[in-house]
Amino acid sequence: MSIQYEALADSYGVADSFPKDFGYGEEETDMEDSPAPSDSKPRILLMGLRRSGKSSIQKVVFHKMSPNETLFLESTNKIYKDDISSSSFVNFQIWDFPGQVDFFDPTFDYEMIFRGTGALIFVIDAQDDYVEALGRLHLTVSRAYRVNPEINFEVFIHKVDGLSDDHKIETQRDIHQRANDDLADASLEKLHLSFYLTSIYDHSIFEAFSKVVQKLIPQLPTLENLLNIFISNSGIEKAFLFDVVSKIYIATDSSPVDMQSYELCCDMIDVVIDVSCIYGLKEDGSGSAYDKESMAIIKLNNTTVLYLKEVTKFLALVCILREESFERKGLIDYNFHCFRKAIHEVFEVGLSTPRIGAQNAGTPCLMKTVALNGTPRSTV
Amino acid sequence: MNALVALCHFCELHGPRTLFCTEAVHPPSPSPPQPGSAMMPDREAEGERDGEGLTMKANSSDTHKADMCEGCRSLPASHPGFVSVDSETGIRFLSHQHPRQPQLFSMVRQACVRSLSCEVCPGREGPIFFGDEQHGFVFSHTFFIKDSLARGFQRWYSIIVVAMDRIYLINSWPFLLRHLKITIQNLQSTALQRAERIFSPAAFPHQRSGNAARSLTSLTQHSDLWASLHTSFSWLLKACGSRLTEKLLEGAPTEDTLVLIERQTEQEEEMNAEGVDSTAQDSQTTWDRDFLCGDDGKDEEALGPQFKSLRHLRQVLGATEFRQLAWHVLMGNQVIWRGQNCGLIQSAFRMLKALLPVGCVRVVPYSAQYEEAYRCNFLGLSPDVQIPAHVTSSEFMVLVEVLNVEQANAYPAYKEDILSLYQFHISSANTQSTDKGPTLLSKIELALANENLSVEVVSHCLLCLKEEWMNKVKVLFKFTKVDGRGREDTQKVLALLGATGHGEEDNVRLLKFWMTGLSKTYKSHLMNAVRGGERSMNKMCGEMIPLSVYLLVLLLLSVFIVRGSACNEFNRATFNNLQSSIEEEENKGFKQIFPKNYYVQHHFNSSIQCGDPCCVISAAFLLADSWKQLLQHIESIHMKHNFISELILHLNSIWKGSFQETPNPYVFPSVPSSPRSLLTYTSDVLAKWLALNCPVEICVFPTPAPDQQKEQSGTEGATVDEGSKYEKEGERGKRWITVAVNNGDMALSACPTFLLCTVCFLRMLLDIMLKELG
Repeated sequence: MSIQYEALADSYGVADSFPKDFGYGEEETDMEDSPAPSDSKPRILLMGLRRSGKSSIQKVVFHKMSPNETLFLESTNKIYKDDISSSSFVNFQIWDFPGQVDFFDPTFDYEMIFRGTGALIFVIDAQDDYVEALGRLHLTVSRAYRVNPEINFEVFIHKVDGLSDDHKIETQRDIHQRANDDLADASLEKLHLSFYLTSIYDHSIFEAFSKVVQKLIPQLPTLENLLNIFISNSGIEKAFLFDVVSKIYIATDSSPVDMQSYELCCDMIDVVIDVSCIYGLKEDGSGSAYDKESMAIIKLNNTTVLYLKEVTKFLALVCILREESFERKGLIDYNFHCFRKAIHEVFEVGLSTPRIGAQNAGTPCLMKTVALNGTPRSTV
Repeated sequence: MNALVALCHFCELHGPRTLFCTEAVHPPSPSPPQPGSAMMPDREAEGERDGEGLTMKANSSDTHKADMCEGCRSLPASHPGFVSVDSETGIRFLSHQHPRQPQLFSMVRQACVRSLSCEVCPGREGPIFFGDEQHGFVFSHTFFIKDSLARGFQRWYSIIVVAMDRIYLINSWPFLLRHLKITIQNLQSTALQRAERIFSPAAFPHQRSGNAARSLTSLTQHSDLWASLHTSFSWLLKACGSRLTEKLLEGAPTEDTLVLIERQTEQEEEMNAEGVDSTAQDSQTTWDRDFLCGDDGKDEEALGPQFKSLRHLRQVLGATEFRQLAWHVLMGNQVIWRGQNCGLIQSAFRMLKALLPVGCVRVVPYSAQYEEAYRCNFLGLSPDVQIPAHVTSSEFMVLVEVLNVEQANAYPAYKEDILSLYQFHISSANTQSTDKGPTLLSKIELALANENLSVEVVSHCLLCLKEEWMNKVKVLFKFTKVDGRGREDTQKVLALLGATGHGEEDNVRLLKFWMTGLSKTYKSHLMNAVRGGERSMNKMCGEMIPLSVYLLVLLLLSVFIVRGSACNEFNRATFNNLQSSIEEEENKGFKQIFPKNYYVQHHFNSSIQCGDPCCVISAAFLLADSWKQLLQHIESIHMKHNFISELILHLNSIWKGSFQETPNPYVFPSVPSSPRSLLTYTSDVLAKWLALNCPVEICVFPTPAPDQQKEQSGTEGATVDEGSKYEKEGERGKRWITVAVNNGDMALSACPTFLLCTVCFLRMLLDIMLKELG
C-alpha cells in the first residue's frame, strides 16, 4: 500500500497544503518567493493567563494527548512553536505562549510575533475568576490589532466542563459583554471577537478549533459549495471534510452543525485509524494507517450509516446518511469520485496561481472554470 | 572576574525571576568611578526598599506590584545580604536577590528571561551561551529541580553568568560548566531525595494558586542554602578571574607614538604641577593665536585655500622649490612662512610636518614676533614682522614669503586655485646645492612624483621611509652616543646603513637632526641596556625596538664582542647548535647523500690542528676553504648546500679578522677526503675553538715546509699520507713561524676586510635569522 501511495505522492503534493498566496499583509507576500522558511507560515497563537489550558488544548488537539494526561503537563516556560504541517492539512504553526511572561515587555519584539499571525486564540479559564483574564485579553487584543488588523481574534472560554449549562451561557454572555465594552471604551469597535465555549473533555475544543481554522482557509466557500452539491445529489444528510490527524473539520455543508453528529464523525475517524493501525500495517510496522485505500462504512442500529472515504493525504470525507439512501451506493461513489477530483483541482489552483502561464499552460481552462464560477462544472 | 552570577527560576506564578545574585565589586581606588563602589553608600538605605525595589518597577514593565511569592524570593527584604571580601585584591563579593544597580538589574533581568523563556537548549537541561554587546554575554545552565507539588513535578531553574567580555566568558566555558555542574547536582540530588520521600500521585492536587510556588530552600531542605550558594558563586568568580589573565599584545609602537605618549604625559604632569595657572596661561596664548589668526584659527577646514597634500604643495610650489624647502625641513633648518593667510600657512605646516618624525617637529603656527630657531623649526609670521638680521643671513633658515596677487579677488570662484591668489617666494642664505640631497628626500620625491600612487599610498610610503630612517638613527645613536665609538667606526656603520656615498653629508646631517627626535623611552632604554651589560642584551629583544633594528644592533654588538672578548652566550648557543647538527649529519645525512667513494680535493690537513688559538683559527680558515671546494661541485639545489654554506659562514666567522691579509690556502697540498671526514674535522675545530673560549687574535698564517710544497706540485693526487709525514717530521712549530709572502693580488687592508666580512656575516646571519623567524 505504501508503495502505491508513494507513487501518488505527486498528485497529493499539490493538494496537501494551503495555497501560498495566503495574503496576510505585505510581509507575507514578500516572503512568498523564499523557499518557505518555517516562520513564514501563518501562525495561530495560543495566549492567555497561566494555567488557563493553552498547552493542554494544543496537546489534545494536535498531539492526541488524552485529556487526563494534561494534568501532568509542566508549565510552559517559553513559546512553544508546533509545526504540524507535515502531518496535517492545517499548514500552520501553533505558538503556545507561557502565560507568566509578558510579551509586551520592550525586550520582546511583539510586533514580529503578531505580524505573521492568522489567528489569535485567547484562552480564558471559565472556572476561575476571569476579571484579570479580561484585562489581559483587552491589552493583548488591542496591541495585536494595532500591529496587524488582519488577525482573527478568537476567545475560548475554556474548562466549561465544570459548569452547568445555565452557568455556561451566563458566563459566555458576561464575558462577551465585558470584553466588548472594554473594546468600545477604547473605540476599537471594528475589532471583532468570536467566543467559543470549550473543554478538552468533549469535542467542543475540536469544533472551536475547526471554526478557527476554517476562517483561515480562503477556499472555504468553494469547499462548502462542493459539499452542498455533493450531498444534495447523493441523498446524504450531513458531510464533513476532516483533517484526519487533528479531527478538525475543514468544511461542512451549509446545514447547521449538530454537535452530536460531529462527535459521531470524530469517533468514527478514531475507530478507523485505530483499527487500521492495529490491522492495516505491515508486519514490520511499515505502512500508514491512513492512505488512498482508506474507506469505512459503519451502520448504526437507528438506520443511520456513517461513510468515510479518503480525499487527500490529510483529508477525509465523513458522511451521515439514511440507510435507504445508501442503497444507491454506486451513485454516491460516482459523485464522491467527482467531488474528490474537484477538491484536488481546487487546491491545485491555489498552488499554481503564482506560476500561471509558465509550466501550467495546459490547464488554464480548468482554472478559469474554478475561478469564475467558484465550482468546477464537472461536479455531478 | 568582571562578571555576575545569578540563580534564576521560572516561577509558576510570575514567570522568569532572578532569585539570587552574586556580583564582584572592585575597590574604588584603582580606576575612576567603579559602578559598584558608587553604590556602596546605598547599603544603609537598602532596608527601606521593599522586595522588588524601585529599580524593578523602573525596569520591568511588570505591572503587578510587589508580587513576589515564596518561589521567587530568596532573601527577605530585611536581610542585609552576604558579603565576602577578598583580602588580596580588596574585591568584595556581594550577594542579594537582585543586583543593586539599575543597569545591572535590567541586564540580569533580561538574561534571566532569555535563559529561561527564550533560548532553546537541546535536551532542555544544559549549558548555552548567548548575548550581545549591549546587554552583555551570558553563559547559562538550565536545570530542573524535582518537586512533587509542581506542575510536571519539576521546576525550572538556571544559573547564569553575565559578563561584558565575550571572549573571556567563552574561554571560561569549560571551567564554569565543570563547577556549576557540581553546584547544580548538589541542589538536584537533595531535592530529589526529598521529592521521592514525599511523592504520592494521589495527593497531586488541582491547586489553583494555593501552593503553586515553593521556595528552593524548602525544596532542598537546606537551611543555609543561600549562604552556601554565596560562597560557591564568590569562589567561582574569584577562581575564574584568576584562571585566565589577559595581556594586550600589540605590535611594537612606532617612534612617533612613543613621542606622542611622552608628550602627553609631560603635559599632564605640567598641568598637575602648575595647576590652574598654566591652563589659564595656555588658554591665553591660544586665544592670542586665535586672535591673530582671525577666524581661521577656529574652523580652518572651511576657510580659504589650503594645501591638501604634500603633492599639492609640490605642485603649487614647483618641483625645484619644493625640493629646496623639503631639504631644509629634513635638515632641521628653521622654516619660516610669512604671509597674511594664516590658514594657508598652517595647512602648509601640516603637510611639511609629515616629512619629519613627530619628535623633531616644533611648530609655532602663527606668531606676531620672531621666535628663535631652538624654539621652533616651523614658524608662521604675519607679513609685517621683521626677521632679525642674524637670522636672515643664517644658512640654517629658509623663508617662504606668501605674497597676495591683486587681481584674484575679482574671481572668488577660483579661490581653490592657490596660485591665482598667492605667489610664493622662497629665499635662503644657504648656497649649498640641494641636488645631492639626503637619500630620503630623493625617495620622497619619487613617491610624490608618481601620479599612480594615491595620496593615501604616498602617506603610507612616507611613514615607511620615516620609520626606515628612524631605525638608522637609532643604530647611529646607539653607536655614537651610547657606545661612544670613534669617528672611524662611525664611518663604517654609516656605510653599513647606506648613508654614505652620494649625498653623504646631507644624510649624516639628517641623521643627526633626527636623533633629537628620538623618544626618551628609547634613549633611556638603550642607555640602560648598555649599562646592564651583556645580560640585558637578551632583554633588549623587548617591545620597544622594531625587530630589524634590534637584530642589527644585536649583531653589530655581537660582532664587536666577538672581536674583543670571549664567547658570549649567543656565540656558544650558535656553535653548540651547529655541533649537534654536524653530529647528526655525520651519522645519517651525509652517509645517505654522498656516495661512498666521493672525495673532494682540498687543502685542509688534519696535521695543522693543535691547541694553540692561532692554530685553530688557521684550521678554520682552511676548513672553510675546503668546504668551498666541495660547494663548487654541488648544485645549489643540493640537499646539503644550505648546511655547508652555513658551516662555511661559521668557520669564516672564526678566522675573519685574525689575519692581516687573506691567506692563500694553495700553499698547502691538495688532499682528497670524504665529506664525512671533513665534517669530523669541522666538529673538532669548532670544539677546540669553543674550548679556547672563542679566541680572537691576530695570527700569522702558517705555511708548509718548502720541500713538501715541491713534492706536492709533483704529485698532485697522492697526498693522503702527507699529513702523516708532517706529523712524523714534527715540523709544526716551524710552520707557524714562517710568514706567508705571496698573494699580493689578494691584499686588502685589514680594516676594510674586517668591515666587509662583518657586513657579509651580518647580512647572512640576518637572513638566516629572519628566515628562522618568518
